[in-house]
Amino acid sequence: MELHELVQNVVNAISIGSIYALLALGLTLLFSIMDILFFAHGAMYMLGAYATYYFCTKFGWNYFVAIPLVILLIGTFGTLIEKGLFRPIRNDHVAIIFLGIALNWFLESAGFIVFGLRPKPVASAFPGKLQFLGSTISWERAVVVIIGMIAVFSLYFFLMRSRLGLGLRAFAEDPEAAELQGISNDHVCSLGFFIGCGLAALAGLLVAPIFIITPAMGSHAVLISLLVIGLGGLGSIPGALLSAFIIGSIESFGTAYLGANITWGLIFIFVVVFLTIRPTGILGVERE
Amino acid sequence: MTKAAACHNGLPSAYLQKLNRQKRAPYGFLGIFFLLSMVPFICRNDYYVHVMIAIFYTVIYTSTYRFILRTGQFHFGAHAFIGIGAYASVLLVTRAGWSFWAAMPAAGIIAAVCALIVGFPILRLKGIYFAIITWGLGDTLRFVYMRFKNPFGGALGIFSIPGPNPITIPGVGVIDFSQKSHYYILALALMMLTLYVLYRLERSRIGLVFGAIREGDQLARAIGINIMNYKVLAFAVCSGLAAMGGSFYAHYTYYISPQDFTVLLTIYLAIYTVVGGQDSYFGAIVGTVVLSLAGEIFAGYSHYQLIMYSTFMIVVLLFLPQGLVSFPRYIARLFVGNSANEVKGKGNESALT
Amino acid sequence: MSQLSLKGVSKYFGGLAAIQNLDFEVKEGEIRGLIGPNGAGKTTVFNVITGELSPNAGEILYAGRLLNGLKTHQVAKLGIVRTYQLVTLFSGYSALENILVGFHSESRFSLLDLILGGRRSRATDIAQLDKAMEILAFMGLSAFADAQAENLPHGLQRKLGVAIALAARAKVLLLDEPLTGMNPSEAQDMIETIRQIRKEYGTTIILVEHNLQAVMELCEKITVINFGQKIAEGEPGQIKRDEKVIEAYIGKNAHAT
Repeated sequence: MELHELVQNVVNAISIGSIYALLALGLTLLFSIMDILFFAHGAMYMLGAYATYYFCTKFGWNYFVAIPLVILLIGTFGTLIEKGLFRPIRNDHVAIIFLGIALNWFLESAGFIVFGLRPKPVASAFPGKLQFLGSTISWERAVVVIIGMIAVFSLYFFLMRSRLGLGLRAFAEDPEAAELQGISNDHVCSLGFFIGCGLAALAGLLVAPIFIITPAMGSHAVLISLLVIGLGGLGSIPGALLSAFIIGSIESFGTAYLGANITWGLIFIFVVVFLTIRPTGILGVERE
Repeated sequence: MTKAAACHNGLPSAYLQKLNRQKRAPYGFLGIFFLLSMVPFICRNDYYVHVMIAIFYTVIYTSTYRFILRTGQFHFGAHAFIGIGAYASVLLVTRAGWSFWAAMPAAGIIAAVCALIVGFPILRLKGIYFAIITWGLGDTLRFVYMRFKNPFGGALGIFSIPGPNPITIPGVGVIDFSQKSHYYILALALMMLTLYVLYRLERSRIGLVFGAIREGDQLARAIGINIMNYKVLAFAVCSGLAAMGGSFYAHYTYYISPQDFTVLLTIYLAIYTVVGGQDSYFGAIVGTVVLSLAGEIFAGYSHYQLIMYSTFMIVVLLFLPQGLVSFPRYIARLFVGNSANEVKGKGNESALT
Repeated sequence: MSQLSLKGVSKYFGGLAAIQNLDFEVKEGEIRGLIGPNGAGKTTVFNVITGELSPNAGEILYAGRLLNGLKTHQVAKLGIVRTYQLVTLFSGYSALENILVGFHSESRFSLLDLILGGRRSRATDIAQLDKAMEILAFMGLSAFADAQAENLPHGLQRKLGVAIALAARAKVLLLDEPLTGMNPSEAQDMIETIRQIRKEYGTTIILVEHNLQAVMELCEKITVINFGQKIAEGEPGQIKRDEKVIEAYIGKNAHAT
């Protein structure tokens, strides 16, 4: 393997890993706050990508204007879904999973009808290339990494430093005690959905200029983010980050040298074997 | 031990009734089989017969899926085992030259053995991990089918699969599967067999243990029930039965491809199960029948079909958590008042913890 | 000689010792009381014996066999069955069905036979029904065979819990506060039942209970633990007079008041 190939693949791995990290973060955050798995997460990612397509390609807006708008739009959509559909059955975890599944496929099918079958291209916001250690890296990929990092760190500071974040963490730790402290159950759930869906939308935003977008991208993303948070340990944010980059690396290097199909088999086998040996994932803790 | 005789003079009448019902059940299943088997001879419209056949093999998938779900495992890989059944049976027939009648049960056994091998390590995993891995398993197999043209036919799949070999039934004549009605009888027989096995698994002594595990796994363990074994048993038997359904599907449609066994198949089964009512034995059947028939309206427009199905599922989850089977009770409650028919919400908490 | 013995068993939660270097031995057919103030580690002892928790140190021997590392269901299969502090039953089932679940391991069923539901399977059903009714009669529950477990009065639910353990062929029965929440007549009835179980089935019984009067009345020998350590062991008369025991109970009260 030559150096420039290696660099190319490492950059790929990091950019794929960043996308997966964003996807998995939202999912694992919702899990640790509300103990639910939100299967329609992938649909939010898909909608985020399509919103980017409409704003940037159709309306011709600047990419950086689209970023906050899309996050706000999809995040709000997420809270509406939480209020309208999830709140009535919040305590029935199995029903919630099924509800998420139904919603995901509803949105995906609606996506096919509204957006059409044909994949949509989004014009690159950063057309240039970058020379680095003898290999050529497109600016888009670099931007994915940069924005992804910014998002992860701001989420981290939000959770660790801000009052709201503290409330979220307190609620995740012990909902009843948090409620006694005056932290409203309803508000926390709304906020959780806003952040979770917003992160998914951000992943969609970043992916839109790199990959072609189709309504089916959401379901695939659900599987990936489930694998990521499963490997990382349910509810563990550092675990999710770590495993996102592990899976991103396997995918990047595997696809380059072995082909996409085998790589997927490998990723799956890796996760299965790992979870069989350590059923709580990399950084997960046994929960009752 | 005279105590026993003295006290049980007809006392546990409710339980004795249950035992009696179990004793009569085989005749009931046979009766339904004969009744339904007359349909294609009365209604000679091939389209309707085809819809019925599709419902029959889907009921096999859905009921077995429901049973695994009821053991507290969030199964997301039904398509994996149905696919194994279909591919195994087709390869045994086309490559190894087996008769369909040997290949179909063999496919079931192969899938059951796969479920056993996979089951022991992964059934230990809780709730959502199980979902992740079974889903991943299905997708991986799909990649394997696509990657290896030989023998799986690659992305295009396998064409011109032969139908079942002709058989002679004494007194009835030769059944050569030249007509839809022949397939109809075979599908019906397979479905009734599956439903009977599931009925026994649910209502017999072993069903009592399955129920007990659901009611309280801590107590179940404390009295020596090896929960793992029961879960693996259910997983293997149900996967095997579903695989036989998959084998039928392959030899009925003459064509299979990796696209037939995507996670979407499992999603459909989940929707049928939930809409029908996962707590009830009949839920899977009702859900499959109602939604399959409703789906015929949108036949060929799968996106509209999925929109309808998922809307159905959302509505049921929010307003009728016991599924369509509880609809009569729901209506009765509207008229009679709350006290008469208390609908119990139970058995939903097991899968995630 | 002894049927069940704990040798130097310790269990830590974090840095805290729930039980520490605990030795005790129980003879076959004995009724043993295990008492101590709240939080002394009594239930932890049960959890360690049944494999629900694994001890950090020490050995647990049952009829010469090491139990360490066995899973709960394996321990139960060997004949050590417990009940729980809070009533645990298969609450949606009838009393009879609760007992029948206890027989799960007895029908070494052939799966095929069971699935086809042939004559042999039906014969087993009837035989088990007879045996279950026998146990219900023994516990004085036969009138409630068809009653749903969760609808039974509290005292009977407790009895049913013990009956399930009997059905599961308990040779050693670990009862965790069987008298909790009972009125005096229910409690007296339960004490009588426990005696009867020992007499009829020869079952060894270990009892964790707060009702000291009942423990003194019922048990031949009592082990007292405090802060996870054994502080006294002996016949009820001895225990009543033991200074350490008095200190553990009274002393604590003196602090509290």
